[in-house]
Parts: sequence; C-alpha cells; structure tokens
Amino acid sequence: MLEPAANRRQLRAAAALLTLLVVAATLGAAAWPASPEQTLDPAEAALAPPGARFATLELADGRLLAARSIVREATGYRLRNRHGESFVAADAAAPGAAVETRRFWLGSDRFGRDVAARLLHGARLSLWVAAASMALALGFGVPLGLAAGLARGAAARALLALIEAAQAFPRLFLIVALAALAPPRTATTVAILAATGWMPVARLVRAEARRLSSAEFVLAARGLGLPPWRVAFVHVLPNALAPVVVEASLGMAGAIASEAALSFLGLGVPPPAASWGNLIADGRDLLRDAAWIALAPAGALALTVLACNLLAEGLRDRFDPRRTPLPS
Amino acid sequence: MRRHLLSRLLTAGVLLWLVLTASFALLHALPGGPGAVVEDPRVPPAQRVRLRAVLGLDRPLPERYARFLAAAARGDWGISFSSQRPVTRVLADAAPHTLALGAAALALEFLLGVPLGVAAARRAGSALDHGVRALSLVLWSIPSFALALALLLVFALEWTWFPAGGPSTPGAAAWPLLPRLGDRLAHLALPALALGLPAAAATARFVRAALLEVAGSPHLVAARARGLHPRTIFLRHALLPAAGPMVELAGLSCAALLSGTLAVELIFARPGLGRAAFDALAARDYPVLLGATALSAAGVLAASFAAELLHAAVDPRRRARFERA
Repeated sequence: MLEPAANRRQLRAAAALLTLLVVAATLGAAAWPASPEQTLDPAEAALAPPGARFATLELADGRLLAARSIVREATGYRLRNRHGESFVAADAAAPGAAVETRRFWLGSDRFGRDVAARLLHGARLSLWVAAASMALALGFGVPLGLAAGLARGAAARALLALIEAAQAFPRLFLIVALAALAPPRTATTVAILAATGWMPVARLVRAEARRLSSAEFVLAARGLGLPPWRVAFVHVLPNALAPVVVEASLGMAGAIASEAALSFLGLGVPPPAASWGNLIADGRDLLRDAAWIALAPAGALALTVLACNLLAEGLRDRFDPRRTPLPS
Repeated sequence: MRRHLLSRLLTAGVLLWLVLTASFALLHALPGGPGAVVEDPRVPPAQRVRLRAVLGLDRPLPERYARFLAAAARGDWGISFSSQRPVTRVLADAAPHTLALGAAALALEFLLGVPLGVAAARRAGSALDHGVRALSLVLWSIPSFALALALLLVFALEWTWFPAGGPSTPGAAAWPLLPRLGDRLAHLALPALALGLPAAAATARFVRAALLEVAGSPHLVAARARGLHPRTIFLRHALLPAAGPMVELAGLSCAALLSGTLAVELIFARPGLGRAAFDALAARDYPVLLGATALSAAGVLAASFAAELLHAAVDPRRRARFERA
C-alpha cells in the first residue's frame, strides 16, 4: 500500500538491518575482544553500567584483576578499586603481563561478563534456532498445504481439519505442553518451534493451491497425465511462492520472538548458552539495579523482529499491492 | 442458515475432541509423562502401587483414554496431583484473571487500533499517517513479554505509578466496592498494556491498509457521484466492508492474546490460566496441564466460532454463502 519509492526504501531498510544482524552474529561475535563466558573480577566489575571502563591485569594464577586504574610501580602494581586501593606485587602478576583496558560498551552482568559479547553470541544462537525451525516448518507445512489444497473429498477435509485442530491450540500453551515432555535441549527448542509454527504456512499454501487448482495450466498439466506430486511441486508451487516467502519472513519474526519467550520462561535453550531469551531472563530480577542486562537483548530482539516484519510487508506490497492479508 | 450453524458447531466439537486426544496422547506417550511421576525410586514400592491405583495409572492406556473422555464430558477433569483439589476448581479460580486480562487487552487493541488506523488512512501521507505507521511498526515488533518488562521497569519500579504485580493489593477484599474495583484496574493496567499495545499496533496497520485498499474503488466513486455526504461514504461504503476482516482479526487475536497471557502473567505475578499451566508443568501436575491446555483450546475455538457468526452478521456476501450451504 505504498508508492514504489517508499516500498523500495522499506525493503532497503529491512535488508540493511538484516545484513547488519547477520554480520554482527557471525563476524562481530568472532571479532569481539571479550568472550561471552569470561567473568571479569566480579568483586570489582559486576553490574558495571554501559560504557564503564576498567584496567585489567592478568595474575600468575590466570585470574584477571580489574580496577578503576592500575599504575605500574617499582615493586608491583597499585590498583585503585571501588572501595579503596590495593597493591599487587610484581611477581604475583603473570610473567610479561601488561595493564590493559576493557570497556563494557553495554555494561556487565552479575558475574562481570560482557553483555555486548553475550548479545553478539546470543544473536548467532537465536538466529540459528529461528532459521532452523522455520526451515522445518516450511518443509512440513508446504507439502501438507499443497496436498490439502489439491486433494478432493474426504482427504481434503481431513487435512484441513488437521491444520485447524493444530491451530486451535494457543501456541504458547502447546509449547509448554511439549516442553514438559522433552528434555530441554537446543534441538528440542527447534523441534517445538517448528511443530507450533507450520500451521500458518500450511493454511496459506492450501489457499493458494486451491485458487490455482482450477487454473488452466494446472488443468493442462493434469490432463497430460503428470503424477500429482509433479503437478503440485512443479506447476502449482512456483506460482504460489511469493506469499510463501512473505509468510516465511513473518514466521521468522514469530520464531525469533517465540524462542526468546520460551527461553525466558526457562523452557527453551538451556541456560548456560547465551540465547537472547536467556539473557533477558538473567536480567529480570536485576531490572531495578542493572536494567541494561535485560534491555540490551530485548532491544536487539525487537529490532530483529522489526527487520523481519519490514521485509515481509515490503515484499507483500512488492509482489501484490492489492492484497492485505490479516497480520499474524 | 441453521444447518450451516449446526455443521460449524459439529466441526468445532470434532476439533475439540482432536485437541483433547492429541493432548492426552502427547502427555502419555512421551518420556516424563504421568507414568514417570510415580516411578520415582525414592518412593517405597508399596506406596508407589497405591499411588498408581489412587491416580488411576494402573489401568491400561485405552481404558484410561475412555475414562478420561467420559469424565471430561461430565465436567470432571480429575484431581490436581500437587494441590489435591479438583482440576475444575483450580481452573475456575484461574480463568477469571486470564479472562479479565484478555478482555482488557482485546478492548485496548480495538479501541486504540481502529481509530488510529482510520485516522492514518483518512489523512494518508500526512505527518499523522507517518507517525502512526512508524509507532505501530515499532510497537508491533516488540514481543509482549519484553514490553511487559519495560513497562514494569518504567511505570512500576522507576516511577511507582502502578503496582508491580499480583491481581490486587493484599487485604483489598475487605475494602468497599469502588476502591476495590480501582485497585483491580490498577493491577490490570500494565499487563493489559503489555498485551494490548502490540496487538493494537497490528490492528492499526491492518485497518489502514484495508481502508486504503478500497479508497480508489469504483463503488466509492459512484457514491461520491450520487452526492452522498463524505461521512456517509466513509462509514457505510469504506469502513463497513472492512468490518468483516476486522471481525476475523478479532477472532485470530484471541488466540494470540491467550498465548501472550502466559509470559505476562508470570512477569506480573497474576494467578491466571497461563500461570496455572506453567506451575503445573513445573510440578508435573498433568491433570491441571491437560485441563488448562484443553480450556485454552476451547476458548480459541469459541472465539473463532463467534468471529465467524459476527462476520456473517456484518457482511452480506458471507451471509449469502451461509444461506447457500
């Protein structure tokens, strides 16, 4: 429902956001100086606000000390801490250790871990889980929708009933019921999201297939005696692809949000791993004292969903400016 | 018409049965199901046998299924494993909280979303339109549990305008009616906003798009040519045709809102259905889990059925299809 220029701008914005996200999740996560698991001297650096800077010194036993400032003196290092000063003898420091600075661009969590590093690594996990579950949902929903749309009689009714029954479950309740039964693993989360995300795809493909089933080229393909699977996949599916791509983009947004909700509830990716939902859950009881722990991943989550939604809307307007399907 | 209604009701019944069967099968077929509860090695064998008998777990699966269906039809959903209360009581205590939250969110969705969408569409391309579109895009993209946390942080923790959680202030039951009602509403406000705002954003976008789609259509040109008042044209010829899809949207919203209540109820500590299901999951209290799932599924089915009826009421084309059937 936009003029072409605005449509192009919207698609470009979505593409830029998504590219940024994928780059951040791959190159960014690999290149970021801090690791997501490393705890930097919790006594000093825990719950540091965004932008906080620390001087660090590696000790001979491998621990990293953090302080406001560290000054090299003749016999060792003088550390200015949160609560005063301390002194580290030169032989307690790791051989060849140098004073370095570390900046927490998005603050640190209660263990002194870098929120930005966790966010970047979480992006990889969250995006991977969402993409894998969406691929599974498409792999299941597309053939089922084609079958439901092209079949006739009792088979068509049974398939439609199956789709409707699956959709009658409120999604999160179904997720909870499924999570109760399978051990919490990343693969389980992918399976659960796929099992609860294929219905809109199947519905849409069914509607498109039904619409196309009386088109002349489909009748011609049937008349030539082609096998049903060939009619479905070679003649019907390519003509129904545009709305499927839109739906996949919307579904991706839904899968990312659902993964986060699921992990937030403690039913998704098991905790030591840094998925966005886990990060938000980590920050939940520190909301008053260290809001950045929950807000940074929540913001990243919203931005990602926004990008997927923008892409879906832009593509929908591009493919078929006259259609306004129900938002999901 | 009546025949079609009956057939729709029948379909809804079949769907409910499918949902029940699927829940039952899921809960029993997979590891960690009800059987595992009474196979804890720390429980003495004699007790285990008795527990199995008390809970009816010693009977064969088909018999359990038949008993489950028969009992469910009678309204007997079994006894909660963890609280020893009838499941129907547990659910009856929880459902009003969820219903209030869902209704408030649905009201917000339409009272906010429809006027905003209409305003944006009537002045398409204006600053107002751009504002509504940008705002709704952002709100639409914030998952409600994340929005719930943000609202909690800002309006309950930073500025203590609203209570941070619970259904009401402890001891409020003894207050006079009006303060008690106000207290309930104050506790409802943030959760309802967290659920309702993203939904309102989606509705505003939908309404705007639906109105713009009919904007250039011949029947509007014809109405203008007949000299009708612009308001009449807008209300009867542009808005009314969009009412049908809006009703369908409301039906779909019910399912989404019901899903959303789960996380929101946990964040705001409201003892609703979502929380009951979540606690039942944590305690492996499968009768309650089954009941909550079935009840929410029934709610979704009822909503979509009502939406279909309403759609027929506002859209003559839909009604015609009903009457032909």
